[in-house]
Amino acid sequence: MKKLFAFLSVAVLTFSLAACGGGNELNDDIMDDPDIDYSEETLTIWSFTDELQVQGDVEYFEEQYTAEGKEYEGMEIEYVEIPTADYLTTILPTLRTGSGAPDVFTGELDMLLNFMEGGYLANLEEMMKADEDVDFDETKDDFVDFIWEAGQDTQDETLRSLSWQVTPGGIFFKTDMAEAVWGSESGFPSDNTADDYNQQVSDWVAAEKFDTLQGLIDASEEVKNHDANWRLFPNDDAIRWFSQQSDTPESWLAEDGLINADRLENEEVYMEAVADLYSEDLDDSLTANVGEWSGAWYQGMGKSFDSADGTTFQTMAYSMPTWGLFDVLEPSIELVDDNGDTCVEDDMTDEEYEACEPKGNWGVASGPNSYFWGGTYLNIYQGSELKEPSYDFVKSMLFDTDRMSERAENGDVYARKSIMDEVTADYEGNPVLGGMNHYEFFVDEADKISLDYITNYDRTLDQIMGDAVNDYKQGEVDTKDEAFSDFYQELRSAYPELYRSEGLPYQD
Amino acid sequence: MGKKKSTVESKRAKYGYMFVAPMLIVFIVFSIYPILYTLYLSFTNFGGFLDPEWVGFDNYRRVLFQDPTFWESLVNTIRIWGINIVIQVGLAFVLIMVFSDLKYKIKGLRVFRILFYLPNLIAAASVALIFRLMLNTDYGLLNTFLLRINLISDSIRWLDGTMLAQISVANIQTWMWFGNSFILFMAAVQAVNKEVIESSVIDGAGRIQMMRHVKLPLIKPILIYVGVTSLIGGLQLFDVPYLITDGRGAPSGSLRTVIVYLFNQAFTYNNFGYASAIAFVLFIIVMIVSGLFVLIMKREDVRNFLDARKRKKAKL
Repeated sequence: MKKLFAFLSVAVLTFSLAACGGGNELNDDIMDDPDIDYSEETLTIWSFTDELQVQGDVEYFEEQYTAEGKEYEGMEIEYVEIPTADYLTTILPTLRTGSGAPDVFTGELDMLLNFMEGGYLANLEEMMKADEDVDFDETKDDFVDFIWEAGQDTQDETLRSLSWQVTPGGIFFKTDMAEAVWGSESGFPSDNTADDYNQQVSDWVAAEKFDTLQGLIDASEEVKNHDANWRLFPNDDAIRWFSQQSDTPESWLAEDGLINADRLENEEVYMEAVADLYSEDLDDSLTANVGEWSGAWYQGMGKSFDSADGTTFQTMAYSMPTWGLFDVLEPSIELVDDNGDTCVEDDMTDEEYEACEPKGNWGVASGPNSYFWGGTYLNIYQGSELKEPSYDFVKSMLFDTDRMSERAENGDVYARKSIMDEVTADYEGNPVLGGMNHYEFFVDEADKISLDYITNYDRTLDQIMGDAVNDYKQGEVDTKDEAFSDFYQELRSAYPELYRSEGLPYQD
Repeated sequence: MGKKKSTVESKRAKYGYMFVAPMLIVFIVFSIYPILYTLYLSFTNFGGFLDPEWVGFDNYRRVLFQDPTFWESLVNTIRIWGINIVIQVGLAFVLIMVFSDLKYKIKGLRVFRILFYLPNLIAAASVALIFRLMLNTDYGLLNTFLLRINLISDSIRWLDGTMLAQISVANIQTWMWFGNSFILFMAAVQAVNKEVIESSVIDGAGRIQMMRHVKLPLIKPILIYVGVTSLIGGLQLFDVPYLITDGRGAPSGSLRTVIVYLFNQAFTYNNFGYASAIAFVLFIIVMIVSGLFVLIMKREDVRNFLDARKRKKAKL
């Protein structure tokens, strides 16, 4: 028994230390084993979203590459969707150990820095250069600069990741509510039958009402003053994108790698703005205190929603990016019949309801600054044994311009200028936006975006500051001093190495 | 002769080892190895990407002496458990008073037992989601109902206020677990000799007196058992507080339990080394509580109760 115990102890320790040795041997070759039988293989794709399946990208790859007579005939495709909240915690350990790791995986911008830091991304640049169908330099020029730069390795600037889309945001709002509130103000477009009326209103609110953080607070007050049950925004989350009030926001980290005091100064202004918008009492609150993604939040995009005390609220505006238009807004907006009356699904036959059209009462305007929300980047795992089909999958989404033009019909805004030129040239306008060309709006917004401020701490520091802001607005802490003190405690607990011992606002 | 016997025994023993080997291998790979690896990580600064670097006892020093958030999390955990156990046991007592009353003679105890136990069978993720929707301040079902029947005039901030959020989560835990306590207490009461109860009735004991002087002393062992097992589970409270808030224990960190804190240190902030040290400190705390539990279990009255329960189960 003693011998057995000794053997087990040694085995366990050996096993532990072997595992502690860290990292698996990664296969950095861009070509696969020449003897590989692809019909026996499964290409595994991991994503935090279902869009590659819903938009038919996986299906397209199967048609082009794995169907009968095609290059990878018989190869299986396994698509694994992992909720965004759990994505990094699931994928990072998998990539590190290599066990069960995907061949292709998606990631958002801040995730890329984690992937690059770990050395998990294959050399996409080398693969593109080895592909005679792709002109590397021409392709580079065709991509929106910030998308290309985001995909370059922070160490050696090699391209390792790329996205087919740009996801700048704006403020979507109901033009009819805007007219009711501000219609009598000087310069507000007077002819609401004009073809470009929604565009005119959007330009006016962007310049007069949505141009600063304070402007948004004032506008919220004006909407509520017009009608006690109307609100500009469903909740104060809508202004989080404007916390820095600049197209080139302050980074969370200063040049010395420690927390940036200037960023915190801006966060203090934002904290005050949120407190101005929020009140525990719905009657006093400048928003409807509706949680983002809740049922009432969606209902507000249609016509109205009821609070617990039975008050019926209407909300005017939502801060959302490109994908918000076709994924979130379009399925939730108010539809009208031929007489302009609101369509209610339960009161109509299926045929009648299907004949209903969007009311066309939405516009989209720039906020105090440009911003982006989300954006899906494609990556090939450095350790994959299926580099060639992995590259071809990425190629089908990023470099197959025919497919991209066809796919652009879904409303996505593409990171390739040539595709966007083609799409916008014949575009007749979005019916939800009363004929506005949302592509032009978003392309302009994308041009303003800078990535200089991005760090791989952004997501968590935003969350930690978000908690401090919420505690301050809800009165859980009485002063900004306490709110910042809580933020610093959490910062020191999460990332003690980032804490700066002096020069920060409200620092003891 | 003796040597021969020993060879036979060792041959037999070999088969024994072969039979236990599958379980032993699974146990080593999935239990012993992760524990040892976590212990090793707790002495490193492992951040998830680069190889771990040895930092000695730094992480333990930080947990025990330099990290107020850890101690706040521990206090939150104990507070939520404390509120939960008081309400849980109180509710279970009221129910056993009703169900064991000789005068009421309530029928269908089995059905009630199942009904009370049902919440325990629902996945914690579903429970958290349901209560998150129900307890929303301005749009939740509970406030809508209370406002409509005019029981309250202003919405109650069930999950938005520090203290109320802890009470709400404690009550959700109670709802999930009171059926379990009720079943254990009821079994203890049913094991009490009916003659004792009847004679106390003849002696003129009221319901409260009977509970206090007859039933309570008789079910005390099981009360201790429920309390201690609940504390061990309570110290590891994670799913409901994690899912019902933003995942970090808002508002104001009031729902940040030790495990929520540990989870965030490991998987949100990528401080795997430090999170491993927190895990081991919690492990030691749970070990102490478990030690207490073992001592209590050695008490004769508790052992007698558990033996009697085992026998009853075996008969069924």
